[in-house]
Amino acid sequence: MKRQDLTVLEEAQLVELAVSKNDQLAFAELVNRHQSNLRYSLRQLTDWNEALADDLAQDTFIQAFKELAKFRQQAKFSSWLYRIGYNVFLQHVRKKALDTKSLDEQPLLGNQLEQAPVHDDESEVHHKVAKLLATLDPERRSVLHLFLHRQNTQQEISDIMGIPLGTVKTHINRGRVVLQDGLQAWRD
Amino acid sequence: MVYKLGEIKIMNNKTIHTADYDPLDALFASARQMQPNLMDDNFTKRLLNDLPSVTLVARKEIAKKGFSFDLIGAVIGLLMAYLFIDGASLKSSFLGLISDSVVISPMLIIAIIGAVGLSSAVAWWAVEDNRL
Repeated sequence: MKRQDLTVLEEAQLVELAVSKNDQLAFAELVNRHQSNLRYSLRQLTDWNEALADDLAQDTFIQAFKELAKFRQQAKFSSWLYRIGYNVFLQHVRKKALDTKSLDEQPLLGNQLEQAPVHDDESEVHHKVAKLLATLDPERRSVLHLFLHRQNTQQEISDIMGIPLGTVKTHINRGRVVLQDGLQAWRD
Repeated sequence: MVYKLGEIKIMNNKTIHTADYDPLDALFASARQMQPNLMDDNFTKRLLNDLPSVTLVARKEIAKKGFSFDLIGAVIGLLMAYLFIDGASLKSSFLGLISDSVVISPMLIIAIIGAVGLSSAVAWWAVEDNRL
């Protein structure tokens, strides 16, 4: 099947082609549809480290390709992909001990955000959000990103991340307070 | 579509001013609206180069086919052996090879323990190395 023909297919059909026929072009079409969102999310989770985020996105897609047969059509492909992405991110954090000092223990100083490099209006917003999220521990950071940016419901977040609903609620409540304090400190 | 910093679109697509909302929600809403569509560049190309050549399912299919051929070969082999080999003489000659008594010397026991220990160490190392 030609590349152009694949663009009109639904995700379920692309997954089926990639799994049963080992069709890498079908998988490439899936990558094409989701790479931007996934790479953006991973940039937000890695304090806007573009190279690292892209490496993690590559690992995520390779993992997804290997486990494509396990994908259940009832779920959204993007949610399933994000779940893999989150696990890849978490594995990286555990391996490399990324800086994850939480504001819960160490309140953010306003000048920490001011020290961020200057960007144009649009990219400044993304960098600012990434800087704020970087003050949370990885799990809470992911929850807040899914909730505030991706606008997933608490139940969806629980399903994606494989953590109890109560934990999601706690992360949202505590994370919001920390982020609001951080933002306030930055504004002052 | 151009969005101004300080304005957000909420779920019903109505544009409102961020001043009316929690600054945190406003910031994330702005980020959401301004999220860039990241260009693919060489991302997909690089990914396709790194992809394993076959998926897990395809690999299982190949393994399944290989197993089927092995099974067919084994059945044919057994059938030919049954038809062309004299079972009684084979059995008696095989039993003739086994001696009535076996002497196990202390040196042999030490050699066996050493071999088992060495192979266990190699197996452990292989598993650990593979896991890492």
